[in-house]
Amino acid sequence: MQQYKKIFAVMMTVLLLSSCKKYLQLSPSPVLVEKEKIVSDDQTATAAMLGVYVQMMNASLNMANGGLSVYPALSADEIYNTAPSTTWDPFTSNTLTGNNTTVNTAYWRPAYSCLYQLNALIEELEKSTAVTAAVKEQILGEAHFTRAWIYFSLINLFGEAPLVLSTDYTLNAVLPKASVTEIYNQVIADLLLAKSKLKENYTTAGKVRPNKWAAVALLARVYLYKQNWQLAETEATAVINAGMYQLLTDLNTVFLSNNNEAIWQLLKDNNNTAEAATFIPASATVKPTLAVTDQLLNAFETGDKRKLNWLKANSISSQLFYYPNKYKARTATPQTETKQLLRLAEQYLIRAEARAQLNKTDSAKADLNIIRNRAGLLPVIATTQSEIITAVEKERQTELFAEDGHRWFDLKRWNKATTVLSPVKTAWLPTAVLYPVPLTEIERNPFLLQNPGY
Amino acid sequence: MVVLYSPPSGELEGAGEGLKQCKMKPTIWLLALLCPLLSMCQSITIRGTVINEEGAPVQGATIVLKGTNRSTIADAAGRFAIARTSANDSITVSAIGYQTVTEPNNERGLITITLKRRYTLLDETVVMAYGITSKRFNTGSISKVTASEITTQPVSNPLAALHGRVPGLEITQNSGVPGAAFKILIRGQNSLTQGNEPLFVIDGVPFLNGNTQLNQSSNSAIGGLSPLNSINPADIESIEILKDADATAIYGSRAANGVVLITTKKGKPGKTIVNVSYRAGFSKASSSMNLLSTNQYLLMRREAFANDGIIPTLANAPDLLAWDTTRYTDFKKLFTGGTAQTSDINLSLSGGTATTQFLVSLGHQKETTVFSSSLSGQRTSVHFTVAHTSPNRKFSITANTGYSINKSNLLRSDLTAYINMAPHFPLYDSTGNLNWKAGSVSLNSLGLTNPMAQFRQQYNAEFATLLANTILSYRITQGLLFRISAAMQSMNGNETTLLPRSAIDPSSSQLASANFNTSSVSSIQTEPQIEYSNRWAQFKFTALAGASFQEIINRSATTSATNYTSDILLSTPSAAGAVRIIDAYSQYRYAAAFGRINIRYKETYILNLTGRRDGSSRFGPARRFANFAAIGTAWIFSNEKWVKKNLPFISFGKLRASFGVTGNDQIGDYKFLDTWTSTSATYQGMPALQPSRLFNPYYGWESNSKWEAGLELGFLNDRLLLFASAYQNRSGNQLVNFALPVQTGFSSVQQNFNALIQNKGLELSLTAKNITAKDWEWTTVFNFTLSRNKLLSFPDIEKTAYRTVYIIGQPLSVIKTYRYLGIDPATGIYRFLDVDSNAVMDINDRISTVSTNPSFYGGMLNTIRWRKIELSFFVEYRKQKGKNYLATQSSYIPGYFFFNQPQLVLNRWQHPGDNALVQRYVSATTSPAYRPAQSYLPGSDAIYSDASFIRMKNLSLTYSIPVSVMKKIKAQELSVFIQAQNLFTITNYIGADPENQNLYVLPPLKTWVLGLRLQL
Repeated sequence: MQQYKKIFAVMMTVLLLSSCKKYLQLSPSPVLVEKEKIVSDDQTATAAMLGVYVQMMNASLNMANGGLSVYPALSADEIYNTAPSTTWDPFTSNTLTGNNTTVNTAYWRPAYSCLYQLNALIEELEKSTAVTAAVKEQILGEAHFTRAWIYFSLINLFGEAPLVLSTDYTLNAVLPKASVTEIYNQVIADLLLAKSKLKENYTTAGKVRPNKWAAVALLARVYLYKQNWQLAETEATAVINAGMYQLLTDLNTVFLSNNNEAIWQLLKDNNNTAEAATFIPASATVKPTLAVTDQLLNAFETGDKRKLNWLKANSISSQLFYYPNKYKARTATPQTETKQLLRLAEQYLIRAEARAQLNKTDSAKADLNIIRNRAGLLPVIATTQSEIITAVEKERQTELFAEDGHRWFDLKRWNKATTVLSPVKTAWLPTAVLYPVPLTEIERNPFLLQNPGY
Repeated sequence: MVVLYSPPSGELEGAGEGLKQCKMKPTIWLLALLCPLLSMCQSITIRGTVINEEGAPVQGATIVLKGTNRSTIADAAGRFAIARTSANDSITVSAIGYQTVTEPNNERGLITITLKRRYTLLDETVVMAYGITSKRFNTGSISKVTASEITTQPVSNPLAALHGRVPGLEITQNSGVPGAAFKILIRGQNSLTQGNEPLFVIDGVPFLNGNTQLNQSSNSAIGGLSPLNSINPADIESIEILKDADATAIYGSRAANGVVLITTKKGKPGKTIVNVSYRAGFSKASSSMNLLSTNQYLLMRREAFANDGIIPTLANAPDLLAWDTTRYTDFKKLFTGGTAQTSDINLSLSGGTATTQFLVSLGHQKETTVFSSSLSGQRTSVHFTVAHTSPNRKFSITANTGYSINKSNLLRSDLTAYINMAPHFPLYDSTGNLNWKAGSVSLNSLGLTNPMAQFRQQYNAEFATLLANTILSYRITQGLLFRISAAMQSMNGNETTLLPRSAIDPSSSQLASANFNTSSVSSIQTEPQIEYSNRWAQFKFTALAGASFQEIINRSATTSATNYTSDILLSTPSAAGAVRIIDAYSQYRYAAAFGRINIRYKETYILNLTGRRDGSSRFGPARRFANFAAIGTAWIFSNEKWVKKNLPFISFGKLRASFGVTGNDQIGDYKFLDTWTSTSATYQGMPALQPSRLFNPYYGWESNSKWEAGLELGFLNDRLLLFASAYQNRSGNQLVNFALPVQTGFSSVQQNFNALIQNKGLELSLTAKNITAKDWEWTTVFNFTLSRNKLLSFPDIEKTAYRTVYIIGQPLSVIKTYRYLGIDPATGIYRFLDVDSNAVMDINDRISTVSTNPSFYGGMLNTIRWRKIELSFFVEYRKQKGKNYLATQSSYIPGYFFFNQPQLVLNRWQHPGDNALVQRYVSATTSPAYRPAQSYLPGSDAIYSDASFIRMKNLSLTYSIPVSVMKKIKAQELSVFIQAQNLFTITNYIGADPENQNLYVLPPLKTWVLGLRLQL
């Protein structure tokens, strides 16, 4: 009897210990998806891609969600804050410092966070056999396209930046900055790949997931920035001739959801745009927080419909304060507008500038006049190449103002930032053309160097 | 020669058969091995029962036949039997916590021995892991805080009662908002980044929430609401802090940061007692810095503009030109100057017989805020415990149940954050409505808000916590006990946050929104155990073996409802324009086997071995299990003859030492899996995913090795007790959230890290009964902790994010900073040492080091009784460096924007040659003085200065009503008392409060209460 008890006790102990292993084996959590499973079918793979867009549009004034339209417009000569502000002042006066939190939270952090997700998705998709070929091509195209857009924005804000193309944090944690050329090469490679993989039609309703023409349109912009005038002209022409887009005569419809001029838009479900919420004051009696500068106001020729339709003014103590009014839906409901990142008018201006640089003066003028005509302006009088280039520059200023950093980027790539800005900015330093790399990042990566002047 | 085991009479079998019984039924090998010795015991037996003054059996009392080595132990019923050699042998009976009795043997057959309690500190019961011990025989480092110390403090959180009372325990109060969390560190920071929380164990069961914040939605309690608020301090019998390896290793993986054992009150045999206590009073925010008056403010602003050569205009200086400059509001007084009310009532009923005891208690505690008396945190709690032992003392059951509901309606944010609004800022417009404009500019566009709008928002939270556990035990034979404990805990939380349109700046485009959070945590634990105890010659032997299984499931859901078109249906999500629901779920399982062997020889030499094998679901399959063990020894040298002879003034002397390894699994669940999770928003109404974190499956247990040596001395019959211990903890293979540059996609990754961190320290505690006269009693308890933290090694630190943070050979709290050189007398701008002379302050210029670890801390408690009056006061002290008021001056630069400033900024540079505290005022970001203040100052050593303090933490004055009066009202005891908390602070700190070190967070409150205690 005693012997049995002992044996029983020993058996129980063994059982207890061996069942421990099983006990600690948990069933998968219902709210988590294991990484391998994100490419297990079309829906999950799509959800993984949509997650990037959600992230890009997550916080108001993040890079894609209005952040490029507001801060660089302050840094350049487009808008200014009408009252002192700890947020806007450093941008308006070009006195950013390494520990400026906005630069980190609006640009650097969301950019690299999205890049990680894109890199992970690309890595997994390339291995996957479960996702159908068409969906795989579509998502790979979208991922490469989006990666290109993010890097393009990063280098134009910060200059050199770490070029992260994998998910291996042990390598990525110590990556130094890559040269601007190196990153542009990657951007072009990504866009060419996206162009080859994406279809001409949009996969879902609206234009909130990029198609082939979005890739081509961004490629045209990149070639323009790279001063590869020939290719810029070619790619812009392809978009213009695609037959899918047309300039809208009513300027008030250019920023509506799914309009005919739009090439690529990004959606925030149940919301209108951060631009409208930021720029448009609560009522006609309130001074707008951010008002248009005299430099921009004076750039509009008399009768320019864009001044009439895309600017609005509040009169405060008999002084007029203009504010950007491209997006008009201030509150979240009803949803009528969608953040627009690529539109046809820019393609005409890209081609006009490329053609002007290639000394194709007539065709350059023709493109320019299409834009001017829509704005209710007479054809351009310029005749010489340099006059036409100047005319394009001015047209870009008035067409693309307060829109995704065009003016700030343009001034920099034309090497005109100091000439144009030092007279109007008391604290201007030529090093202010690059935003500072967030100090916390430099502290965390010994190989990451600060931009000059910070 | 040796009596090993003699079953007492009356137990199942007759006493005469007892010895044979023992031979026939050897339950474990040891007993079997020793059985041959039993043949020696063929003689007459003395039988009896050992009871205490209340008539309850004294289990484990040692009965020694005088003049021999023969001894035995009383069983659970207090019964014993011992063979004697001659008729006139007397027996000596001793037990922990009781005075030793020598009883002459006069052959009465069955004798009853009554033991009187010994009220010496050394024999006081001390709760340890899976058992009890006493200070006298304990081999580990355990500090105890008793109920009497807790109840004299008018606090709602048990942790608040521990401030400064325990050597080696550092408690910091984050905020003075009711229910706010506490930071707790036992023997310093062991981990680089996380998981420094000790293990909290309540009545033997790991507390399901630990010290992690209860609330999901943010509110004004900085650092979150403390889960320990769900425990009524009045229900606590004692709190034991377990510090060294010997005391903690049996908790294995979870013990690296020490253990806090909370033991609740139990019923006692005797007549039924009713206890009522009530106290009520008020609290005020403790003193803070004074801010500028309107005139001083205007002077500062005008001087700032003049410094920068900028002419104030309506646009850049509406505060100077558009606002009414004759107005003045003391915002500090307005927001934090209120009086909070506090009340606490407790009612308990307890009693029982020798076999069944019970205790039921009810408590209600409420604390309003200094912001408004309509906002409060309150707790209603029930505690029920019942214990029963079968008449034959073989079977016993103890059941404890605690249920509490914590309710909070607090502001969303701490109003203290707004005390630096311009002193002439108009909160209301001319019609008495909330003002949202500054001149023609909206507050929204200035980045400002009207703090009074917070009162239109609503935050309501309710947390229900249930803690239930049952311990069943069965005594198989006298020395062998089987015990199983089963515990269930659950916490259910509901939070509602409403943000109506009327609380939002009308110039903002934001619509009304609401957040609904539900959270539930449940835990099930079971622990079968076997305990064996016996005596063999002068050896006393106890062994314990057990297993532990625990599962914790966390669930939460956040419903975020936005785009409401009206404020009326705000609490109905279906009325919202858009609704998003985010779910979270996690499961945690933990399994372990543990054991302990304790051998005591001659009550003088003690050896204690503990071990545990742990498995945790938080680790990958290959790294799931780990072993932990410790050895503890003690030598009570005062029992040695030569000490008694040569050092008679030493009444007690013990040397103890321990070494062991404990671990840490304080990381989230599922982290060894590479997972993606749903984003909070959809895209075109379709679900979207995002990666949860960087993936690193190769992490495993962190280990923490602990050395400890202690010397414990008692003088003058233990009137003076001195306990000293020195420890060295080394924590390696650190499991950390390793900081990474965000270019990796995330800002950290879970990994083991090869850094070796050492915590070394010396702890002293002194208890002195200065006066013990009939009318006079005076006791002093003093404790002192000296601790040093050091990063011993960190391979390749230069390649990591930590190169700017940590220095090998220095404490973890060391901060690398720019060296502040004072103000340039010529320009009036802060200067810092530019090591590489590149005109900017960068990483290379961080050459100065500052450590914010306290260099020493502790407290002193004095209790003085004169007849019926008892006065006790407790002083806490801490020597440390901390962030001073300059730390927030990078966000609030003097002169810049509409921020009011502490009056200290009047000591500023004005003219060349001035020697000042603060640099010249700044009016715009274009000022050359802007960048030094905004960017360099916060990274410099100028923001650190002495933050040492001596705080009158507690004062309690109690008057007990004389017996004659009590008899009239038929009460057992009646007393009235005054208690005060955080009475005053002596400090040189430049800032608000040296403990929370932030001018813009509500400091700990001063509390005064008046109360009464009645026992019927």
